[in-house]
Amino acid sequence: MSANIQPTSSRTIAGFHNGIRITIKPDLFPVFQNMQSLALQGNHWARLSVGYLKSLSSGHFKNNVFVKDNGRLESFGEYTIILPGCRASFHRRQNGEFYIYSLEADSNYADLQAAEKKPGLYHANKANGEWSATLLPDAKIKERKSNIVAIADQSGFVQDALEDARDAATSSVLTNSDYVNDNGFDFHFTAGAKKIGGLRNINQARNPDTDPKLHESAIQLAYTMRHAIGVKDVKWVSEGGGSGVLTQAMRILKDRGINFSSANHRVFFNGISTNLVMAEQLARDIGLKFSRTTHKKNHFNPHQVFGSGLASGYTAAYNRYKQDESHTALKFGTDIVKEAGSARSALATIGITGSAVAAAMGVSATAIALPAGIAFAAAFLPKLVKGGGAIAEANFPRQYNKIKGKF
Amino acid sequence: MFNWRWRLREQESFLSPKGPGFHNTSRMSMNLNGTSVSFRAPKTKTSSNFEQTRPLCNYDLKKLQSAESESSWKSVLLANQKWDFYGPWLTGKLAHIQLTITINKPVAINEGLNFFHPRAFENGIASLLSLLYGSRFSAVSGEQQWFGPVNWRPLANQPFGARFDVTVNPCVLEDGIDCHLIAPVDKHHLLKICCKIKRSPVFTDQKPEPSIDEWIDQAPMLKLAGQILDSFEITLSPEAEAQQREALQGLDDTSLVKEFPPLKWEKPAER
Repeated sequence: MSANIQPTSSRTIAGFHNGIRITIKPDLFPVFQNMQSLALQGNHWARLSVGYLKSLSSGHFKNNVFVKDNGRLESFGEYTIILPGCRASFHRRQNGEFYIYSLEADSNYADLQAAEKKPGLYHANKANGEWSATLLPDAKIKERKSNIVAIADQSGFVQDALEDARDAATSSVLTNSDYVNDNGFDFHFTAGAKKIGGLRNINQARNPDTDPKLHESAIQLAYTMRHAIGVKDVKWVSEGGGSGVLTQAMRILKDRGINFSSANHRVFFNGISTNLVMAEQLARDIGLKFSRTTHKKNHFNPHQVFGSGLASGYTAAYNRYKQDESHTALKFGTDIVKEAGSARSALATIGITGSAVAAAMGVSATAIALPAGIAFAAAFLPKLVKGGGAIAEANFPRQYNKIKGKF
Repeated sequence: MFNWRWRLREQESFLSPKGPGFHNTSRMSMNLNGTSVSFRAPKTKTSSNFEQTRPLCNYDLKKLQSAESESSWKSVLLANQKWDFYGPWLTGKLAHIQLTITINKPVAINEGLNFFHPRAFENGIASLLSLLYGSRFSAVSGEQQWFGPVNWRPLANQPFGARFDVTVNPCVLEDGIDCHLIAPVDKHHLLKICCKIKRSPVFTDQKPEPSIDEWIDQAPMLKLAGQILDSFEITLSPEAEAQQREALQGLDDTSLVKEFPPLKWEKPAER
């Protein structure tokens, strides 16, 4: 559908008396009416979607509106608005009004959430030794003893997202695993087949705040976060690519001018695979607290190293120094040394592993190399074992956690 | 071929996932106050951080405690295992089966309750299913999300018990089937073995969007779940056998019902 098509007739849905008139294609009007009646019955997602569509008449675009690049002037361009349960495309007509020419509504959004096809907020708890997840239909967290909200990476199974989120919730420095086991935690689930960010989706990793694919999930997380301001001491822990959803949610909250300074909330990026500097900057802007050790990155995992940015450890340290008055030059120096040290030890371990393998190959090839190979292995074996844990964690995280959990 | 956990390719057509084999699995057995329960199952194989529970050798039914006291049943987890099913040519995880074995006991016990009595056993199953599935309704239409029991089969070779499935309501949810085996191990305790089969939802840009049955084959999972449930062998202890004789005394028809239609649950009225 292009902007050239001139509508023969249209129905007005908002802006009757003031603001910009919003019109809709006549055959889509029943869809909108259905959505409106659902909203009046109290359907959460329909209410949200109708509110957003009507708010277009203010003339101000919020960041859920994406502009299609069709080579025209932006003022006459085509736009798409993505909301939970609704996707609408519209363009601006010459008289200034917005004309909605496509509207796809999921009137059964809550059922799609139950079928694990759409993002949602879940509460995880352990009963009888078994973890289970319950969908929270209003997407709001309740005040609990340990207010941990994990943001899981994209997954096709809620059960898998729960198990990975639980690991993030218990392994972060902000939380305690006994608390998590006793009280459970909430987690935000993003439905999809791929993981977010990392080396495979490098563009998404660089710019998570404007990625349309994350928007549906991020808008829900932003809603959850906005309504959590009344709850004190919430810890938002992202797991892997969940940081991308969290980044975009923080961007939405920043654009709405919401500030968490009084609520004492904290963020933690566990195994971050999207832009770290952007995430920290946005957290700072909306008053979410984070400390120097707030991100956890494994230097052996290419998805984390390249996804969060090659020099992100240094840039983030510099940003902390520049933006935070209490962050002294000495602390900045410590951050830099720590970052350099962890990267160097990673490189060294890779080097040793490589040369140890080479030596082992040499042993089998020539008998002369045998004593040298043994001496080499004896010298470097302790280092190899030391670095082995990190290599194992990077390449086989599940097996690593499984073994770690046994001790 | 290449049925691995890594997902490097997009799924573009119907796929049949592959899971662990069943041929050389060892037999595990549990002793519940003299009643022995044994079964065969592969080792847990999953790519998520799953906390598995392996069955112990001996359990004392009197000491089994449960924290959950709000509901009408107490249950204790004996085993919890999970198997992933991966698609061919690096298409990643497509489905999983989760096996849970629990011992269930009603909180309020009548003096005369004996689960070896066919009617008491059927009532017990109805009550247990209502607890597990009876509170799940569509948020949109208010219909029940699950249908059960379907495909009801009283056990032929075992002392006493039944196999059945619980399936999703196709008008509400797309996919999900739980295969159950329930049998009494003494007059107050029911052993419940459940294999939950879950496939990944369809995520594709193809229009029209294919249904889940056109996208992922369910047969491999049903086959493994069937093999595991078929391998269960229950041998009652002398006390349990005495309880069974006591329950069946004076009954003309000692068999379970031939047909057990799905239960109907009503959504409670709001406010």
